[in-house]
Amino acid sequence: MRWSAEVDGRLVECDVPGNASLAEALRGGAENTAVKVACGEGICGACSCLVAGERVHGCIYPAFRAYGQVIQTAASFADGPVARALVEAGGVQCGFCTPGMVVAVHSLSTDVPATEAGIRHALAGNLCRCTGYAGLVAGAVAGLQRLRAGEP
Amino acid sequence: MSGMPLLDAADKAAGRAKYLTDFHLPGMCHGVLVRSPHAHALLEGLDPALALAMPGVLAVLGPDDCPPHDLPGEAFYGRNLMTRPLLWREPAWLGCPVAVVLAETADQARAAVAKVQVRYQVLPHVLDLEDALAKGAVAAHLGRSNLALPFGAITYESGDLKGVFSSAPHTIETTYHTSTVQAAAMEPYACLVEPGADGGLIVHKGTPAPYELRHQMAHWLGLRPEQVRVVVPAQIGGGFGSRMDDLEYVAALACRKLQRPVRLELERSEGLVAGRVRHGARIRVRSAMDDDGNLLAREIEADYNAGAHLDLGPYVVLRALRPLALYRCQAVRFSGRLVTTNAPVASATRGFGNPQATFAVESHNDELCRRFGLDPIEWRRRHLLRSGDKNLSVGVVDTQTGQFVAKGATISSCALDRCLDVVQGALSEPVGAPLEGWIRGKGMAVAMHTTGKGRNEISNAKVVLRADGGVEVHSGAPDQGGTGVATSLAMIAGEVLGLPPQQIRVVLADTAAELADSGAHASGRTYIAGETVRQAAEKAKQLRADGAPLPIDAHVAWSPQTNAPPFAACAAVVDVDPQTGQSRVVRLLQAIDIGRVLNPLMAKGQIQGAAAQGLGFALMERLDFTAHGKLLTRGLLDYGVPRTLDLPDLEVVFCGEPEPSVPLGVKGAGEIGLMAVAPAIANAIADATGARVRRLPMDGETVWRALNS
Ligand code: FES
Ligand code: FES
Repeated sequence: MRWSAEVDGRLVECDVPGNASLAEALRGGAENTAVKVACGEGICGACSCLVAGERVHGCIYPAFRAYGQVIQTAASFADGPVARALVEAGGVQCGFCTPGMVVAVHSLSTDVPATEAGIRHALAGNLCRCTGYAGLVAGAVAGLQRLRAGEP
Repeated sequence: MSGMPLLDAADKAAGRAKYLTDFHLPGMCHGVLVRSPHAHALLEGLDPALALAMPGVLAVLGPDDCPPHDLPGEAFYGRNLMTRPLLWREPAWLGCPVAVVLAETADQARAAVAKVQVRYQVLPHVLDLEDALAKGAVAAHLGRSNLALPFGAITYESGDLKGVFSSAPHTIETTYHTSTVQAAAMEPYACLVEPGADGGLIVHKGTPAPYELRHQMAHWLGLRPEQVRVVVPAQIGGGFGSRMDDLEYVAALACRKLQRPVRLELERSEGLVAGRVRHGARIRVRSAMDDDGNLLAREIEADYNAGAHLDLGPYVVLRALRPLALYRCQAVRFSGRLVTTNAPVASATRGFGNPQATFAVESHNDELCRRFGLDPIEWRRRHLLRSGDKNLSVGVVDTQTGQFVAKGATISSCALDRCLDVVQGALSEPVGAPLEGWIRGKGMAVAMHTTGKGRNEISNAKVVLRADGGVEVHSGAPDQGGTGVATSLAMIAGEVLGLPPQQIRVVLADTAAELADSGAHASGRTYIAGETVRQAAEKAKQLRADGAPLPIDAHVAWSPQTNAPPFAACAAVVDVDPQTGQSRVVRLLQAIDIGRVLNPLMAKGQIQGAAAQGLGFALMERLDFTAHGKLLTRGLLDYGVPRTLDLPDLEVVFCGEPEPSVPLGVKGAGEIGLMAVAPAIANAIADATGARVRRLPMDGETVWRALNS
């Protein structure tokens, strides 16, 4: 099917199979490398993206449901305060989980406290096999604080 | 904490970095493997006709099209144990590849896989190591013994073991089991092979050993090594040793047939059984003691579950020697066997045979300290190796007899005493109260690992000072997914040349550069490739100082003389719920000796990441099968990779002094943080509950059973 959406601020149009997931549409059709697929079954968070501001797992979210929507991947938040904080805290090793982590932090509502405990609960659905989460959690706390302080 | 993030970290966080699974080449087609649904069977027929009629399907290749992998390597007893089929006529584990379907798209190939008509004669199978060793056991491979080493066991003995054991006033013997676990790197297992110049191939693959792969691939295809170019992607979504999975051979075959780029990419459920796994093990430890609890002699018998073929198994089981070598006593004996089963193929996985044995020996040490009423830290101080002692775990196996011959290597630096001080301090701090109804315990353990394989190591590097003022570092070493090789090499060259690492361009692991490197194994690259780059940078600097004109191209090849073992001591505070057997690690601190710490930020990350894998190994991870050989752990949902809430903040204290065997002063950081975690947790659980759990993973049920037996 012909698919289109606004992805990271650009209008994207491409052909995708009718049963394609959003991750397939973005990765295949839109050649977006900021959406990673690690498990393909909605449990690792690597494929996280925002559809109309809501966080979804792109690997199990049907592309047709995102048709015409505003979609944000980690590319929308490239080099922003959250990404920078994750980098500085040593939270990036292989980096395969990182774009999903960036999106996850950006999706947090204001009632999630920017503390270690708050972040550990909020990111429990994002798997990382490399870091042991120490640098990631520290970076996410700092990033969320900077984001809320309005840092560009 | 100083140090710097990985040079490519910002690109990764932005999603700009390209991984192999992001590569698209013009004309690329896709392969999907047809996998055996049986743990053991014989192919009676394979009819591709229906699959070939499916849309987009280009070809179906089966065992007849695919010669076995007969790599030129070490022959044990005249037989190369690593020889294996790539598409199997006698599939020997569930998920074993029997054919490959090639199609224009991955979806088309996957749809056609279901249409390949394979007739199997189902054979009896054996999954469990102990079942495979029992009298009259089912043969995992028809007509072959499950005891896979031709000489039975790899053995080592020194001192008068029999004499000491027969005269010792006390002996203690305990047996431990560890489960088969998966590295479960986040990026799917994948490879991409395209036609190259001169009738050759270009192989894109996250292998740790590109030059070895080139050598083996060329031999297998009857090509000259120069015709095969192996390029390791600069970004790999985690390796942990597990990416040596043979996929590229099947892709190469397909590429040669179709003369088009071919990509193979596994789904997670395939990756869990098709990627290489960590050997499950049974390890018996026996110690002879005097009346004061001094260790007089020790013996280890290690049986490792090799799965369906041996792969690197002979080298892996040998590494069960490390914890035996860590303690001084009058006599030791080692015996290591490999047992073939119809479980997934076990091979190199972060820690390489050491985590299993360290779990056994360090649990055993705690048991004997308890029996003698000794302080486990003081007891270790009495017996642990020191600088200047011999390290018996470095040596070679006589491939005729299986006898291990120690090379007489000497420990050049060891800060275990200081590591123990740190752990002692941490464990003497008040631990607070657990949740109501839970009980809290403390435990510790120590470990030794290696920096490099201890033999046959080489690295080549070139430092180029360009005419335009740019500086390049070229090394044959690959990164293995965020281990930071590129960043370390830039730091090392930058240190010599007085440049910030960001200004140095690092190019790694493309065999077209002809910079042979023995590969990212055994925590060795910063030490080996790093020292090589340091020397090349010095050479370039010297040439410049002598007035040589630009561009300057300084090439160095270097081989290490020793294996400079890193050390760890781990302290764990663990809560246990006696009602359910559930445990939670509330504090985990590691005191680490990796010599000079080149990049504290990322070295800490290596230790923490390894600790998380150690915790998963200890408490959560296991590949589970039904009695019929079907896999219960089908994806990351069932397979217990630790999540944020399963881990405490992981504390790391570096205690080492610069390692004297290289000017760089470093030792390997990649694996040592995994080793001591599981036994420290087991010892804490024993401290909390009084119950000794000798089987991993120590999940709720296992601990509950230990408490109620
Ligand atoms: S890839 Fe989508 S949740 Fe894992
Ligand atoms: S950095 Fe590798 S999975 Fe998180």
